[in-house]
Amino acid sequence: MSGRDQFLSGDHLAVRPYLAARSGELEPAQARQLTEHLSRCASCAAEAAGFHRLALALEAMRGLELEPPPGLLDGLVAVAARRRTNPRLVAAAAGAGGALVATAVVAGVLRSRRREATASSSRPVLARLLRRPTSPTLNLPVLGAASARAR
Amino acid sequence: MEVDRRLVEAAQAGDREAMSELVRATHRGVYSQALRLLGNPEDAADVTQDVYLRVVRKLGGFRHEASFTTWLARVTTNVAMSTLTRRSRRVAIEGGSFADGVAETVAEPDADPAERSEAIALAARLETLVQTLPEGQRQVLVLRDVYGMSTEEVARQMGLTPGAVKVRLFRARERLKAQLEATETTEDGVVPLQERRRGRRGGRRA
Repeated sequence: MSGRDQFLSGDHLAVRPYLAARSGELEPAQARQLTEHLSRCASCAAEAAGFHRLALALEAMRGLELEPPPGLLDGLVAVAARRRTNPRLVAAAAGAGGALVATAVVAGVLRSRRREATASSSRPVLARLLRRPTSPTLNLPVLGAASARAR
Repeated sequence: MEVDRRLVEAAQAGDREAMSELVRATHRGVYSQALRLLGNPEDAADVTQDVYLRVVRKLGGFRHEASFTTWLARVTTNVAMSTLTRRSRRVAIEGGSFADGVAETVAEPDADPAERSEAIALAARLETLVQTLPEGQRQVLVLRDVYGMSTEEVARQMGLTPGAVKVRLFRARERLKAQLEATETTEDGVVPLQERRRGRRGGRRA
């Protein structure tokens, strides 16, 4: 039985594995076969729309953050405070002799900006983290932020 | 979330305060990725610690060719997959060369703003459903569909053929879609169509 006969006989199982595929995951011939079928089959087109909706939601999961256990952040910050990165590697990464001076200036700017903005950015996040005892819980992202990431 | 490049550069230059801020700003994303891949909070916390040990060691070599969060997602993937490999095969991998497979962006085409906002609402429900997938399906799905790794990279990471990755991936998607739709019809007070489908398939498994 050819693929065309299967479509005509209403055997949707033939295209079902293709419906779950995202663009680029099918061979060109399979993609053509699927497109042709979807143009004539409302039921499979609805299935494909459902998979598209799922794909978007899975993509959006990346923007959701799960709450770490209490105490984890303190341990991580302690690790970060104990260790320093190798300045020679920084210079190599920047590829210029003046890089250290430049980054030191930037660091100074950042420090002063952080002092000005103690009530914003990461500090409330930290406070929120320390207040929440349970794990894992879900933090819904700001809609705008997630949309920006998606772009 | 994206991180200010100047903050990363300050941390690279040895500014401890900048490094701490970098950790605060990114650790929940790292923990979330680890939890999705490993499936339990204890392992995810261990992996998160290992990730930042590696970050402080390797940050000096980060060249800003990709965004910092993309680089961090790669590091997290590598550490998590090393942990998974050790856990499942009981074989230590020394100097594992897991590749840079996390895409810079993963965008489904033709998504309008209404679709995007619906996707965010659905994502919160999916978080629970993803954890009910068989481990092999879950890892493939998380790497490919949540973190945008290519099929070929997922195959390399997991020691599978690309064809085998696609089989797991499509099954995982089918299962999730069915579960999502089943919960929606149940909430609407309608007998889930999924129950009928499941009976007809006769306990098909991945």
